[in-house]
This record gives sequence, structure tokens and C-alpha cells, in this order.
Amino acid sequence: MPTISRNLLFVLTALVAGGLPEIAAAHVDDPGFAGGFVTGFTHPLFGWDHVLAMVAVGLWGAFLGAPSIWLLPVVFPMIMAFGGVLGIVGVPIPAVETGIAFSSVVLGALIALAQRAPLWIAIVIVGSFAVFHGHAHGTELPNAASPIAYSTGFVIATGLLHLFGILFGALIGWPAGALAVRSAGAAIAVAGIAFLIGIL
Amino acid sequence: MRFSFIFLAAILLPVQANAQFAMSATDGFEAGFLLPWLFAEQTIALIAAGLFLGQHRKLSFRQMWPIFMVTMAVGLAVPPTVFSLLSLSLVLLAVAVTLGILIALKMPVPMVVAVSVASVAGVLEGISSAPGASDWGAALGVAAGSALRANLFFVTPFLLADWLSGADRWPWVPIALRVAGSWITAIGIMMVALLLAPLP
Repeated sequence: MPTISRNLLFVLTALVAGGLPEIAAAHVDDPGFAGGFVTGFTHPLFGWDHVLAMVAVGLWGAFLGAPSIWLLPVVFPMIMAFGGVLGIVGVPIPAVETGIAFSSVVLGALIALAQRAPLWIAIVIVGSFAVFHGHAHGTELPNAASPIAYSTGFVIATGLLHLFGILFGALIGWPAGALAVRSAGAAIAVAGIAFLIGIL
Repeated sequence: MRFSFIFLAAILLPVQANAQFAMSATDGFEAGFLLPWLFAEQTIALIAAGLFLGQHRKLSFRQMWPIFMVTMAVGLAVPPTVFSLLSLSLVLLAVAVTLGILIALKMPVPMVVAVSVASVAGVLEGISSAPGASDWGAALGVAAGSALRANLFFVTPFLLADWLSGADRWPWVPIALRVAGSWITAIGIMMVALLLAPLP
């Protein structure tokens, strides 16, 4: 495709400039959608068990390198959505909270021990835990003020947590950074154990 | 630059024209812009189509945009009572989920597929935005507002994806697009589940 012309950029700017005030007004008119998005976006951020596991996924992906660095954050939301569907339709999964806590333990330990699993094993591990996380979110979805906004918010927040983990994991290129990443993995694993036995 | 001003005038003229006649046309424009039948489903499908087409840099915006606009005009001509909102929602979400997967996989696509995506996105957007007003002025207002909104959510991701993908200094962009595709898929899957799940 040829380079974007100046004309096209002008038109695009005009479209966005014309539309922004209306979009802002829409937020005022429809607090339910905005409220649902904020609730969904903050939901993974206020549950430390979720936060640590999501960051661990990004960290491990960065630790494993390409293609895991992008494949794990791509696979996780898709399988998490599958778990979410199970939660929405009411299919029970045993020991969901235990599974979530266990995900921090396992992923943290893999990072701390510098384990480089083959790609397919990494996908299976991360995907298995994604079901538990998705189920927990999905169970709460139908009760949200705006379920669609809620699901959009929590998927994006989850992705941003992965991104944070990837960025932190990028430190692995330096000797001190590798130590920091492995230490973070150990801390995540310890926190996961604390969640498992109910201290946190 | 002449083209830009003509385009901008074409966007703004319906507003001015409507303002001279009755409020119903202005209301129609606002309704078309802010309150389509299926805001969330239409938005996610448009963004998915824009990202998908923009991700493949060999596809020309100058080819795809007219196809989208013409097919959207065709869709706008379909009476809104022909399809049920539920069936439209499911089709829009199926398109979004499929395109999200294709974005995540980043498979090369033949031109016929790209044309089909632009056409399907346009027709579905048109059908989903079809004006229900009996008054011609209001109906045209709805059509103009819908066209402006559709362009915002289709053109912006298209051009952004295309432009960012072409910048060699940003190697993370293809990864970010894949991740965005997985988010779209995840959100779409859960929206389908929410539509079909029994109310709590």
C-alpha cells in the first residue's frame, strides 16, 4: 500500500475531531457502559492472585523468548474466554480459586528455576490455568451492570498485565536483570503458596 | 487537498442541511452516530475488519474503502425489520471472532478474501444501521451519522495498522496486532455467550 497521503491524514483528523465530542457526550449519556468497563478493567487489578498470575504469564513468555513471548499472551485470552463461557453458562469447575492460586505457584516456580519448556508444553500449561481465571471472571459477568463492557474491560486489563510482565521480563538481557526476573518469579511462587494455604 | 475539503464538506453538509429543516433530521444524525442498533457488536466487528485489512500491507486502502462504503450503502437500503437483532448480533460477533483469529494467526490472504471481508463488514454495518424512520430527512440523517461512525471505527484501525506495520523501527507492532486480534476473539466469544446464556 502506498504511503498515506497528506489528504488522507487530513480527512482522518477531521473525522476524529468531529467525532470525539460526540463520543465524550455518549459517555455522559450512558454511564452503565462506562461503569461496566471500569468495573471489568479494575477487576483483575484488585485481585492479587489474578495480577500475579497474569504478570507471570508475560514474564515466562519473555523468559522463553520468541515465539512464546507473543504466543502465550495471544493464546491466554482466547482460552480464558473459553473458561469465561463455562462460567457464564453455569458449567461448574471444581476448585477454581485453588487453580488460580496454583497458577501463580507453578508459573512463578518455572520462572525462578529458569525452566525453558517446549512451546507446546508452555501453551498447555498457560492454557490450562487460563480456564480457571476465565471461569472466575465469567461467573461474575452476568451480574455486572454492563456485561459486554465488563468483559471488554477485563480482557484489556489482562492483556496489559501480560504486557507489564513482558516488559519486566525484557530485563533478562542483563545479568542483574535475569536475577531480578528470577527473583520476581520466586516471589510470585511464594505468594501463590500463601494464597493456597489461605494466608493472603 | 481539494479532495479532503470535498470529503469534509460531504460529511458536514447533511448536518447543516438538516438543521435548516426539522430537528428530526438532526436527531436522525445523532441517532445514527451515537445509537446504532447494536453498538458493541458493530464496533468490535468494524475494528476487527479494519485491523485485519490494515495488517496486510499489500492491500490498498484506496481499493478497500470504496468497497466498504458501497456495500454499506447497500446494507443501509435493507429495511431494519428483515433480520432480527439477535441474528444480526450473532453474525457480527461471528465475523469479529473469525477475523480476530485470522489477525492473531497473521496468515497471508488472497485478494478475494480481503474484498469479501470489506464487503461483508460493509453490508453488515449497513444492515445493522438501517434507518427505521419513515421521514426521508431523518433517514438520511441516520445514514450520514452511521457512515461517519462506521468510518471512525473502520478507517482508523485500518490506517493505524497499515501505517504502524510499515514502520521498520517498531518491530513490536506485528505482535501488538496479533495480541489485539486475540483480545477481539476473547471479547467476541464472551459476548456470544452472554447473548445466548439464560438470564441469572
